[in-house]
This record gives sequence, C-alpha cells and structure tokens, in this order.
Amino acid sequence: MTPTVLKLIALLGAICYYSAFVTELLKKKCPVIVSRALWAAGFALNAALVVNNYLVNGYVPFVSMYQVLTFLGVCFLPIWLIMRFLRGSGWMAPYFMFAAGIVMTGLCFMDAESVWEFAPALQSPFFIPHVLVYMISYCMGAVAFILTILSYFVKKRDLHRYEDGIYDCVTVVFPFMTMGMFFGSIWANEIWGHFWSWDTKENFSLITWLIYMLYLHFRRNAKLKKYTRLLALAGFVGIIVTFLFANVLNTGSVHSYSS
Amino acid sequence: MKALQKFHFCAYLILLVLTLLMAAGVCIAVISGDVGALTGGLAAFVFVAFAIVQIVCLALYQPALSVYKIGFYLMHVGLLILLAGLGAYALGGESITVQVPISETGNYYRYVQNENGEDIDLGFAFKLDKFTLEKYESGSDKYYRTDVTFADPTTLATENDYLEVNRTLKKNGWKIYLMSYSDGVSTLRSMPMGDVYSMVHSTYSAEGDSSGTDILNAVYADIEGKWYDYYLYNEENECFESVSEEKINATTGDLWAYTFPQDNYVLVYLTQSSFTETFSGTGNDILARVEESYPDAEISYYKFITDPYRTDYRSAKLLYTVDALETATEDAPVTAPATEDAESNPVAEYTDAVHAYVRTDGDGKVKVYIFEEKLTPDASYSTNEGGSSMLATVSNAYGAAAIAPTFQIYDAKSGGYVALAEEDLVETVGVLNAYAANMGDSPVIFVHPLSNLLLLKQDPGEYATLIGMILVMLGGVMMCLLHGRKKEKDGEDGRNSSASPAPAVQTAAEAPSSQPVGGKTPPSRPPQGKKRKKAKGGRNR
Repeated sequence: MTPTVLKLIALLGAICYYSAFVTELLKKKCPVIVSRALWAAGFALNAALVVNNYLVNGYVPFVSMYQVLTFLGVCFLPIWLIMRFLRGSGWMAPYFMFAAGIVMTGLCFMDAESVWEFAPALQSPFFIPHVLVYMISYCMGAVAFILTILSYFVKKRDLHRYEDGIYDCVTVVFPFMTMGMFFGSIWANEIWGHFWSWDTKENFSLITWLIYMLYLHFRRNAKLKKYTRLLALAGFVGIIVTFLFANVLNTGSVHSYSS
Repeated sequence: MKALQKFHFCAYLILLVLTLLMAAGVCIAVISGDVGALTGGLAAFVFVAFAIVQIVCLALYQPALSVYKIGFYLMHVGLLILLAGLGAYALGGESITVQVPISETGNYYRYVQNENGEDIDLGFAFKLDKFTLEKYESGSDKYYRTDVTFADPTTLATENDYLEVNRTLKKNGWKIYLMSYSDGVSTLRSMPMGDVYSMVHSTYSAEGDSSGTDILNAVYADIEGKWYDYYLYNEENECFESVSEEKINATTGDLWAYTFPQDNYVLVYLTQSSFTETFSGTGNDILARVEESYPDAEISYYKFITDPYRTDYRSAKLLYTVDALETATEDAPVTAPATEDAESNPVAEYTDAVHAYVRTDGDGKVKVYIFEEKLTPDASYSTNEGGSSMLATVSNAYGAAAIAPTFQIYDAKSGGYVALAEEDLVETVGVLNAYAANMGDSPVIFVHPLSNLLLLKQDPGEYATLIGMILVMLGGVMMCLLHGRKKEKDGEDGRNSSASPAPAVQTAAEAPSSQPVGGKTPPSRPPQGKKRKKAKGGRNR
C-alpha cells in the first residue's frame, strides 16, 4: 500500500473512532448499535494497518514509532471488552474510543515508510511481551488520563465514579507497566549484561512506574487520596515522555532502534 | 492507630520525594547530556532509601492475612528480594569487558584485567575461533555469532560452543556475553577516536621543472565540473594563501597536493615540503606523542581550516583555541601556546580523534597541523590467514610503487594506532582487515585484527533479582485479577476508618442524574462478583 493510502485508512479510522465516541455520548438519541458498529469499523481499519505492517515486516509490527502507534490504537477495543466482562467497566467505552481516535489521528501525520531491519539485539523472545504489555499499560494510562481530566469538571456526586474508574485503569496500568519494565530488564541482562543501565528511556519509565506506585499508595491514605488525580495526570505525562520524547530527544538511548 | 497512619503518611511522602528526586536527576542529566552521572550516588541513594522505607512500612503495617492480598504480598516481598539481589551484585559482583581477537590458531585466554588493573583468573581458558556476520542491504548488522573453544587449564580438555547477541554462555561462575565486534570500520565508528585514515583525498607529487603543471593535470580529475580554489603554503607567512593557476604552473620542485571535496566545491591545498610524521588520536594523545618525539623542539600547532565559506581564514593558522582561531584575523593572529603547559594547550580540547601531521624545519622548529576531516581509505584488504597473507597481498599491490608502505596496527588498549614492523605483522594471526591511505608522501596500511568485545560477569545476586522480578510480576497479575473481587471495606490503610469511603458500586438506579462535561453521565457499573445482574432500566454498555 502506498503511504497516501495508508494515511487515508488512518484518517478514516480516526473518523470512525471519533464518530463512535460522539454517538456513544448521544446514546439516548442514537442506538448503541451505531456507535459500536462505528467502533468496529475503526478497529477494522486500524487492524488493517497492523496487518499491513506485519506483511511489510514479515514479523511483529513494532519496527518504528509508526508501527508501534498503529498497534497501540488497535489495543483499545480488546482491552475494553476484557475490562467490561471482568470489571463491568462498560461505561468507559467512549473514552476508549476517543483515545484510539487520538492515536489514529497521530498516524495521519507520520511517515509510514520503514525498512524492517531486525537488529541482533531485538532477536529475543522478550521482544514481543516487552512491547505488548507496555502497549496495554499505555492504553489504560491514556483512558485514566481522559477520565482524570473529565473528573475535574463533573459534579461532586459523580466524582467517586470517575475516581473509581481511574483506579480501575491504574490497577491495570501498574501491573502491566511492571511486567514491561521487568521483561525489558531481564532481556537487558541477557544481551547487555546488566538489568538496568540508567538509559534515558529506562529512567523515564522508572519515574512513570514510581508515579503510578505512588498513586496506589496515596489512594489508600485518607489525607493523600485527594492528590491521586494529580498523580494520574503526572503518570500520563510520564508515559508520553517515555514513549515519545526519549526517542525524539535523541539522548543516545540504547532503545533508539527506531525513531 | 493514628501514629501508624501518620507514619504511613510520612512514608508515602518520602516515596514522593524520592520519585521527584529521581525525576529531577534524570531531567538534569538529560539537559546536561551527562546521563552517566545517574549511575552514581543518586541512584544508590534512591534504591537504598526505597528499600528502607519499604521494609519499615511493611514491618509496621503488619498486613492481615487474606487471599485478596496475595498480590500485595508477592509484589512487596518480590521487591525486597529484587533489591537484595541488586545489592548483592553491587557488593560482590564483577563485570569485565575484554577485546578478544578472532583466531583459530591463536592463544587461549585465561586471565583478564578488571577495571582496577588486577589480573583475574577465570578458572578456564578460551579462544574465539570463527566469526560469522550477516548484514542487511543497508549495511546494518543482521546476525552475528562467534564460535568459542573452551579449555580446561588442568585437564586441557576442550569444548566447543558459540556465542550470539542473545545467547550467553556460563562457565565457572562467569556469564559470557557477546557485546559487539570490531572489523576496523565499525571500530572506527564506535570508538571516540573517529576516522584515522587520512585527510588526503588524493595526493599528487611531481618532481622536476614542470611540477606545477603536472600536478594541475593530476588534480583535474578531482575538480572537474566543480568550483575550486587553489591554496599554496607560504613558508614565510606560515599559512596557505590563495593562488592562481598561473602561479602554480610557474612552481618548480617538489609539490604535494591535497584535495578536499566539499559537496560541489573542491579546495586544493599545495605544499612544497611534505609532512614527516603523522599521529592520530585525541588532542591529549597527540600532545603526548609529539612531546615524546620532539622533546627539545619548539613546537607550534596549527589548525587546518577547510570551510569554503570562511574566505578570510581559509588557511592554516596558528592554533590557540578553536574559538580564538575563528575570531583571529590576518592582522592579529593568535600566538602559539606554551607547549610546556600541555594541559592548557588548546589541542587538548579535541576529545574526538583528529589527525596531526608534523613538519620539521632545519632550525629545530616543529609544526604540527591538526586535521579534523573524516575520510575514506584508498583501498582495503582482508584475510583470515594472518599477517603473512596480509603482507603478501599488500606487497603484491604495492610491488611497483616507488615507496613501500608502512604498517600501523590498531591497539585496542590505547585506542590508537602503533607502528608495526613487517616481521611483527607476519606473526600476527587471525582475521585481519586493512585499509590503505596516503599519509604525506608515504602509503600507510592500517591493520585491524577482527575481534569481539566480550563481557564477563559474575553476579551473585542474579537469581535473587530474577526471582524478585518474577514475584513482583506475579503479584501484579494477581492484583489486576483480584481487583474489585473484594471491596475495600476497610477504608484507610486497609483498616477500619470512615475517612475514606470505598469506591462505591453504583447501579443504574443509583446513578446521579447530572451530566458531566463532554457527555452524559456514565452508565452505572454493574455489581461486582460472580453473579452480575443487569440493572433495571439501564444498559450495561
């Protein structure tokens, strides 16, 4: 597929996601099936991009920032389904849709062309789980962020619901982020000879992990609980810095296999 | 109980301070570009403080035993084991990096030097037999592996195995990693010293009355179709001066030309006396070597400027500092530095490799020209049969040349090149790559033995660290799965308190009617537990 076609698909996917978001919010006027159908359509377009990336690589589509973001977008729907059935978090659907739409919008402005060169260090069984669990974690971090922003505008009696929603998300973010960090750490010990190298990206990921850890601890303390939403915001900032800026800053990171 | 709550309050604040400290440290490190600074005291402090806070918190907290808290136990106990493992490595671990040449017929290695310069007996001997490398079309590495032979020092029994980037070997308590390889070019790219072949793209020499015309004809191939300028070295003014073709045509005697292609522009530098010696390395390396070679001479350092847009200083000037040089003018040249004070010598400012070309005058004066250009070799040679094969190949290539090439070999310890006599080259074994370049009037062959960078590591806390990580991950999974299975009836800190009501599970009927900004009120969460009832009048979306 040409870059123009890929961007067109990303644009259509983003429109579907946003449309699903709007129709979901207008559920009294619009049947729920419409929003879910739009979401499914956006997911299908997103999945098509992932499949295309897979075919280009002949391997997992994690070669560049574009491919990782494409994969990130496709994670939202399955995670929402799991969350819905395990925790009854179905009401969060519009925020999952919106977050996926943001990711797809980003894809419209990115260069889709990439050459798949699988560096020897990446040829490890830890590669896929390391990226995959981080993607799940980042998805939930994004949803937690959206809920946190909204929580500052809702009425007091609704606040608990949003705080619970954020807590639900963070209890997924933190374990998966922990797994991502430790999979990476074990992998690093196998190829570089140390669990931790104080690399820029590693440091930011540790800071993000510490912020979410603080969130969980603050949540359990009456005096500190009121600051948890600030931590949820800070945590998402940490995710953005870890995910994007550490590569963009070009600080000689050992994680700079792709840009 | 209140005291306990206060303590936890303080402990969480300490965690917050540690996190902020860490974040501030990372930001400062990133901004200052000194990320390595983080590996020092700050990191150790954060880790130790983190461990202490956690231990004290757990000791005072004394959590009640409950299956719903299994995630909590696993994560916290795992973290402590993990930190203990890292501490064990910090106290008793060893990590040594060694550069080992690839040679089937070479010697076995049994002793390696650690950071303190102590010889460490590995308790086994090894040699690297064969290196296999595959590359992508773009030239980046696709796959590489090294065949290794281990030998028992007492029984002399040998054992064959291989290393890959993701395949380590364990031997006698040591874990062996294949970190990278060095085949010359990649070494030069990765080493701080940079390219060392030659600043000379082409060198032309002509003797006799018509040397100027000869050299212009020779240079023509390089400048054809491009903008160009000629600069001739003026001995009196000690700099290169722009000259016309007519003046070059009128020049007689020995003449050397150095062409510097710069996109569509070529600078041609001509000199009537050749360089006598060349050095490559960082500024301090060059200072040391020049001082060693010419202990009593009056030494002046020059910098060669090849920027075509700097028309005012497009010549070799006395080097003072890079900044001072760039602001110098013909009328106010910078003066030579005091060579006795090597540390303050501006040449020392070159932390990347540069090339120094030395000219000696009859009156005991030595002029050292610093070149920063990165260039390509004229030719390359490769053999896996050692130095004798390399010598034969080079001799064959330079058989008809008036001047026989000299050899320099890459020295991994010093990170530079050292002269190599032909008889020593013959004794060099293994896979050799060589690159030829003209240095002044003499061809020089830079020899690179193919080698691997290995990491040998002893980590007494490795298993503890791994077990700790696995426990933390399991704890995380449990925490994720059990979340919501048991409502937080206990309130604050898991104890009875009314200060922090548990997140309520609301049904659709209980859902508030007000609408949040940006959308309608979220539908209710269904009740948690095995039996989930759909709320009347609401949809579980």
